Amino acid sequence: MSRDAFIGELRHRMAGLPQDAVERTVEYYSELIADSMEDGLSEAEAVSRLGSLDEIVSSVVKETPLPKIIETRVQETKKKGGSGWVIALLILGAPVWLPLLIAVLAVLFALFVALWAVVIALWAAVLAVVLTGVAAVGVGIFELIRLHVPQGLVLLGGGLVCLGLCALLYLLMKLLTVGTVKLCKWVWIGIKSLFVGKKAK
Amino acid sequence: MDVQMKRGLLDVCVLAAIQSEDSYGYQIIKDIRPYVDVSESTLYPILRRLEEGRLLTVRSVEHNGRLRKYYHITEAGRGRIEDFKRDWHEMESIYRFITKGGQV
Repeated sequence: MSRDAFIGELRHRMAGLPQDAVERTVEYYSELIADSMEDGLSEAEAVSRLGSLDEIVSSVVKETPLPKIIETRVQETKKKGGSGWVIALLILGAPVWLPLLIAVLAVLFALFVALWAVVIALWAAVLAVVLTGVAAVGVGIFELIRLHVPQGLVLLGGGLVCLGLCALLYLLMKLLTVGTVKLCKWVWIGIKSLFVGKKAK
Repeated sequence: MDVQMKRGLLDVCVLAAIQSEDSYGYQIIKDIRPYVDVSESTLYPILRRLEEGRLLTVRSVEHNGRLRKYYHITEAGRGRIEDFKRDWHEMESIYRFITKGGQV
């Protein structure tokens, strides 16, 4: 990709981000391309070293708070022609879009809560298995002391199986929890990205 | 390496790269790349963060008919490097404790 094509695409994908953030980012990457080329790299090499556009844009989106992104979008809409119509429609349409917006936010929030509820419930289940294991081992030993050998051995064995299972479950749950945190972060960046970048032609 | 740990280390590496003289983006990446894996898109937010935290200042200098941004370390930035060195001594003694298997 050529330098100009890269910068053009970068601007295109960052549309909707605050103007100063866009300018700063463009300056930073054009400077890097120019410096790499001065250092002897070809234009194409210099551009390809910068990594993917997706990565660059999402790192800027990550740094920009959502209210700032929405503010920029609103200002852009105001600047464009026919803004009177847009504003009039927004106000007249409020009874329609406001409840819809609230509903969408509520659904998202509900999904978020439900997701975490499942994770917490699973942790509780793991805890229950641990407690069962500990109790079974304890009672098992007690039964052995009372010379109820068969019952004692069964309880002891069952308890140990529970505890062993827990070690595995714990690892699984840790993965699941880290995964859920990542998923939530990813969705949040996704929501912010909805407001950034021009629509495809 | 742990992401949080690497993030903190990268901040100090960037400050170290400009502590003896002012430097610019491309040069900073070139200087620290032999030691830490850093890409162009990871350096950018770091520079922003350091600037917002007033650990460095930025000025544009004309170079070959274009502007190049030079980063200059502030007193607070030097303080961060000193903090890191102090923390490192603490880390070292913890490391020794760990490698000795927890025996003092």
